Amino acid sequence: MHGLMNRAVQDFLTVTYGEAAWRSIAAEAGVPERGFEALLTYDDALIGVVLRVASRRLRKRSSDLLEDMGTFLVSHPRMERVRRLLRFGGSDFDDFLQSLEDLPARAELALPTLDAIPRFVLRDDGRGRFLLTATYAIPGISHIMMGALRAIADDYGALVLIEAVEPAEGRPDDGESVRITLSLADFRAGRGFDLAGSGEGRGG
Amino acid sequence: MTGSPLMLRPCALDRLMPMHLALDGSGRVTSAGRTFARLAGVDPAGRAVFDLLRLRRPEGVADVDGLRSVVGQKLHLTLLHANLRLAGIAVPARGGAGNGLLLNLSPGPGVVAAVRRFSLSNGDFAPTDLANELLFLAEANAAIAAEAAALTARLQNAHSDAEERSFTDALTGLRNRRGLDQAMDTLARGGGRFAMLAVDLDRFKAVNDAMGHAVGDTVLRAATEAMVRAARAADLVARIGGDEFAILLYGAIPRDRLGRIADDLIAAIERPIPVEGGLARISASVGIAISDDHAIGDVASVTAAADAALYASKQAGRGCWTLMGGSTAPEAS
Repeated sequence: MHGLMNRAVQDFLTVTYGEAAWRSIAAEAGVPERGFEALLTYDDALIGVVLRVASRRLRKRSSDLLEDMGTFLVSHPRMERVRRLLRFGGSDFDDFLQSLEDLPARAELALPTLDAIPRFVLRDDGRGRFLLTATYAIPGISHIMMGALRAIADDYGALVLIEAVEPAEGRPDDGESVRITLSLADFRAGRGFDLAGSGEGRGG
Repeated sequence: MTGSPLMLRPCALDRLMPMHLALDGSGRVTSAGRTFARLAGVDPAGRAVFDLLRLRRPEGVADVDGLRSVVGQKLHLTLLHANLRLAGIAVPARGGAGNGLLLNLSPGPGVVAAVRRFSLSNGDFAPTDLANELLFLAEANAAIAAEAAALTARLQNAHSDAEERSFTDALTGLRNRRGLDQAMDTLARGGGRFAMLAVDLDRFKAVNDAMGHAVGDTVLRAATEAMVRAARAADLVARIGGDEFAILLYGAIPRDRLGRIADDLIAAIERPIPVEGGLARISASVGIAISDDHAIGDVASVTAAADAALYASKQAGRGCWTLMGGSTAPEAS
């Protein structure tokens, strides 16, 4: 898989738990000595190993770790670029959800070899209740989604309820889902989003 | 053209084409899209189109009849007030105003700059407009380019580190033979005067055999220190074999000064070296050659002369130096 996600995991663990914690996790998981490069490609299985080692060493439940990572991905200043690229999807949270199905096509426009983006399917009951399903190479994507969606809803100033949906028995290929209930799209002022940006994104 | 005429109200036109201008038969603006109005900086309603826009291509079109003659073609325009380049297309539009035109415009590739300059937002574009995707791409592209540049810099560092290691002798930290060859190559290409000292440690093998490799290493490090002190910071000291060294002294150095450098170096190397189990004593034979005595760029001949001088020193009983010059008689300590 494209190193973008590997690098994001590394950044998350380094920023949240410190350089020393990351080094010991990386060493045990067999991460290359210099860490992950966002533009190189790594074996799909490696990121799962890193997350398992991290969960054990940090004594955090895997689901909690992934949810924190989802939050980090879209809300940490270091990940400002990710937030901006996601916010291109729509002018409000509803609009943003609708744009998620286009995300892989967008990502492929930017970088044709990029395969680190989940495939999304959105079902909408028309009354502010959504079922968002993602298929991804890493198990636990629904937990990442929960953290990321809460943070991006916050970014838009929307009041939402996001719950995990138990996967259908014996049908793991159908992806992982979360249920989103949008109570108020403009609950309060969100963070600003200037379409053109400042021209100097941070980190990433 | 077939089918019945399509009637659209200005507000519907605005939703579809926020950069449009509807013109009446005399070329005056009857309605304008909200984004056009924003870029124009003035209320376009009622103004003559050529007071707002200049047509750069096709050339020579400066009135509404001219505009009527280029309907359906790609137009290159400049929005006068903002000095902004636009692409456009005009089509006939027969509405209540009669013989009118509908002009649709776009900043084209300038959209990224225009968005920044006029603080445009999602709502300023039609949902079918690809401007949003273009902005997304521009931003993603900048992120990827920055990441690629950072990766290249890291790889470059790793590369020079590896190169540095491959030119360095691990025990003494001096340049190795490859490092010396590289410096000689640079000299051969760039010219410049220099002197070369070929240094062989005398009795080193005996000390190494009698007192062990650990002592041998200590002795080598001590000899290294003596050579580094004899040379200036900009000069190059290389270990080119077990007990063989070469010192490149850059610049034109007088012969008598070279002799003193060699004397001091041999004296320093002969100083007893404290090692485990007592004192180790070695000496050095030195061969000196000067580039002045050779054709410019003939670096190999300097090396050969330094080797010949070193051989002469050994023949003369070791612990001494010989200076070989092509045109003058050899000198020796």
